[in-house]
Amino acid sequence: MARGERRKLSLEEWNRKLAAVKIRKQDMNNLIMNYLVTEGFVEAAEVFMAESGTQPGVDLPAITDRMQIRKALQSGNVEDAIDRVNDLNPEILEEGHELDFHLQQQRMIELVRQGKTEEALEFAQEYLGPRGEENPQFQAELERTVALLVFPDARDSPLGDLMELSQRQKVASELNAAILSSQGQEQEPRLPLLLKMLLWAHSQLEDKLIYPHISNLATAELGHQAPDG
Amino acid sequence: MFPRVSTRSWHWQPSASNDNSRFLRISGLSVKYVGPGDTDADAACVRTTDPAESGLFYFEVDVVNKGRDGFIGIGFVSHDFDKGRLPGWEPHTFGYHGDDGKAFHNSSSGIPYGPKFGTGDRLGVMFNRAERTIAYTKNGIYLGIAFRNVQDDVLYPAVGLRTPDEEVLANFGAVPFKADVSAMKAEAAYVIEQQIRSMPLPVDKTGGSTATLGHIIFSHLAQHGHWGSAAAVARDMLGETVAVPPSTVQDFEARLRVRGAIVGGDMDGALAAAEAFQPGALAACPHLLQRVKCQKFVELVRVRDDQAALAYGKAELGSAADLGPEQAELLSDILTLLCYEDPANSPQGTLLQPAARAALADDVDAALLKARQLPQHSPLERLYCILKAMQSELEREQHPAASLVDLDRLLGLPS
Repeated sequence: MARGERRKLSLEEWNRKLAAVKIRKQDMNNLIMNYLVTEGFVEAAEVFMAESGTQPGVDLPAITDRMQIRKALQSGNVEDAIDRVNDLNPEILEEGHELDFHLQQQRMIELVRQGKTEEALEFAQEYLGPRGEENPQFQAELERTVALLVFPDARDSPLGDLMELSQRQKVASELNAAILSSQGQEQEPRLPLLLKMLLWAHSQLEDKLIYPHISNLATAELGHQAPDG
Repeated sequence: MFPRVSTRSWHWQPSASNDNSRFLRISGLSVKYVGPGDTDADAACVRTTDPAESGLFYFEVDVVNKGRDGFIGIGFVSHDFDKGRLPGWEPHTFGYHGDDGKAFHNSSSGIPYGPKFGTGDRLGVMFNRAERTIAYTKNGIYLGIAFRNVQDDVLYPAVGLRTPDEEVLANFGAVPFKADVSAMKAEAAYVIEQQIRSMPLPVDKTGGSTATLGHIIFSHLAQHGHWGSAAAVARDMLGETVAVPPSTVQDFEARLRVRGAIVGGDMDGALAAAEAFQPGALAACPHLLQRVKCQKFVELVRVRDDQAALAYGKAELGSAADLGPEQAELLSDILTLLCYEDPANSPQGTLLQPAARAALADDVDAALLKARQLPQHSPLERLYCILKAMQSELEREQHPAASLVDLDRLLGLPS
């Protein structure tokens, strides 16, 4: 077949191929357990172990530190998270400038969330400004964060994304990965890797094959448009 | 993990009498120049009968004799190539030449690439289909990439000779290669792994992917009735934005009653529970219903109530013949059980094993889900199926990743 000519697989053919794949339930459970443990969702991991019999492969109490740090961040107690990280290993933040900046940024966001505008401004001047000066790469992010102060309702502003719960999750994941790295442990859980593999495989097949694409990763729905063309 | 060594038997195309290949004497995998060798018009090129196959393709060539001038070109040509030109002089051909160490592609002057080579040297050629590159080794040492952006999908190993007494001998893996091919393959695999790991995940509203992953995990836990885990994930990963609806729990438990009855050997109970879950669901699948009835027969034989089994068979199982050969065979198998003193250890004994009940329970469950138009699999399971299907398409396309990278191993799953 000449380059440029693409094979075609209809939705029916594709579904037949999917149906032929053998799924081992334990494999799926292991992927989930690996994610929960690596990301520090210890309570979910414990319940999941009890309900499914899936072994976590690590000593769950040993990862409680990471869980508590994540919980602190997720509930907005950034100082508590920072203290706990420093108790664990002060080098993590001393050496991780970007992570350190993101944590300070998150502190400011939480102050804005609580409506403590003046305190937030003082904090920005004392902590964020100097870090921005030292590291020009933080400048844009710094400006965005400080801009939160001028909106009456930051949530409903163009910068609303900073106020979202997932912003906390993002920083929590970054911190979690840094702790794992400092402990010499596997940082990347395998479940995201599965998604990356799908995206990568798609990038490799795209110019060879016309087939139903995934339209939504979270639901694994296939695009409804019939593969023609 | 690494591609099987080629089991194909490799041959040079035989010489013809009406073109420059008449200047080549081919014997097995050896090629010797026997022409006049006066000008470039006396060049002669030969390719193998079959094209490079796997995603990462490698072969080696021994320079037995550099002949008069050592105008030897080693590389790849397309299907319809010019037999009177060295590899690299024409479009769709690629060659590394011994007299000047240059790399040629659609060029008569080439570009500086590697050292010159001559008598006693062993050259290796690597075609990486994913990276679309061609690289060489000399005496086992990797020389780096000679050609990038190689657009041809079908290429044939080739050698070209130009002056008297030049002679080469090719090796396509029948004898061990001089270069450490497994190291080159490991490196290619590493490059692919890094590509995969560096794929950016689609971001949620604020640049993370926790929510996407959270939904994938949550839906899987809910699909399999792990309610407590689902609730914990909804709380810790998704900020309570999702919850398992009570109807999902009820449906799951109703299906669990069907499964429990089948696994426990109570087919009447299973039929009743299935009817309670979705009236008419099994009646709509006559083959499956017949299998449940056959299982009831088997359960009666298990407790050696042969009379009841026979009576039940007469009353309920007679329609098997109408359902096709498979059902007729199942019926004759279960009837045969009656003949044995110890049915469990008879040739049809597998019918009495727990696995038979479990398989039936799976199929009934799938039918119940279908009748309610509920998904058979969680999104996570579907994503995995899609990945495996894509992997087999990559294999079909001879993508090196298919042979070099073990996706299951990267995912920490048994291969």
